[in-house]
Amino acid sequence: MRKIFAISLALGAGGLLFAQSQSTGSFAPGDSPALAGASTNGETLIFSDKGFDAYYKLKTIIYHDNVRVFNPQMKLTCELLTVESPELPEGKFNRVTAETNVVIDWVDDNGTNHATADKAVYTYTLTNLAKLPELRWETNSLVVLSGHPYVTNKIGTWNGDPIIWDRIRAVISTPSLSKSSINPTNSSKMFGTEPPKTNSTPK
Amino acid sequence: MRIEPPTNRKATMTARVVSCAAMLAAACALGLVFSGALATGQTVGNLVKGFKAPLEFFDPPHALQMRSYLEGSQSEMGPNGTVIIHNAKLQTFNVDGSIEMMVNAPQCVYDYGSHVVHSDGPLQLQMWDQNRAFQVQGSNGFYWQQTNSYLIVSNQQKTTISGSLTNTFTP
Repeated sequence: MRKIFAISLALGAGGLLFAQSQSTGSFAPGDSPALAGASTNGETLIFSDKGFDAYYKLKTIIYHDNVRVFNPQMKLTCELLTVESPELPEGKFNRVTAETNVVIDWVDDNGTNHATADKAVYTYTLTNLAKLPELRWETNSLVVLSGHPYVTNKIGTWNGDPIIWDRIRAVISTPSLSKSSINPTNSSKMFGTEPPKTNSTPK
Repeated sequence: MRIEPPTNRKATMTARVVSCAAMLAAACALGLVFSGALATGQTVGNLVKGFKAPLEFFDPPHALQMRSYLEGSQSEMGPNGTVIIHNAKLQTFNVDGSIEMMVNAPQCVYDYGSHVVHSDGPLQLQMWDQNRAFQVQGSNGFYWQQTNSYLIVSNQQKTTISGSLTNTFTP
């Protein structure tokens, strides 16, 4: 059974993964020691101990060994990071794949979020659904965490494999939710936790 | 049968000689470029100053457009048909002539046989991609393969990316 737990404001609305900045105003260095002082001027820094392979005509770079990514809103560590952004005749396709011991910390309007998994794949696509010269763009921005994924923030914690985060719709879902816990004091922002609005008089 | 005046024949011969000489000079220059011995300065021992060599051109119809270019302040012959280049700058270009990638290294080796540029030392790399700029600082070597547009940066490196990582777009 596919359980969907939409936590738009908890993880999605101001969320960030793989250095796509959205909510710069909410970041305070003191909120997250892991993120503080990592990068300046909106730049993204990528360190690796065994360098990288660049197939630069294909716009593909593969970083090896103890890979660390720093952005003002995010920190990511893993062992293998593949960045693909091929040029297309129209539209866009970006994919970032982090593998082995993936740890992601990012900040949004709800403070610091923490995720771990064996693998994380971020895909961003921009597709023209119409035939040229007509343009009708569809944007997809998905993060898929797989391999013992775990997400936690002040709202709660989630386990399930995979965990799929639709960043456009601001929805996180998993086909196999194995465990979750919600912090009731902060759960009011979650869909479904507020009492339904009704015109009937309470008895 | 018409016989042209001697003056016209002499002029034609002169033109042909000049044309042949120009072609010969061009061939020699091309040979020197690809042999890596285009010395714009003086030679001191094995060192040659002012190494400059286009490594590759685009296919037709852009055959006059350089695809990759290697230059350095000095060069010297290395073992097995290699050239050691000091203060090297390796550039690759897009078909419109804009710079695609630029590598600066205090020293590197160009292998003519395998069309490879490599180094064991530090490097600085810059790449441009639409609205993004990549800057890389490496400390322990690189390997560039001309034929496959393939670059390896070895060991510890730091990449700085300016600009958005994803192609933010508002239709």
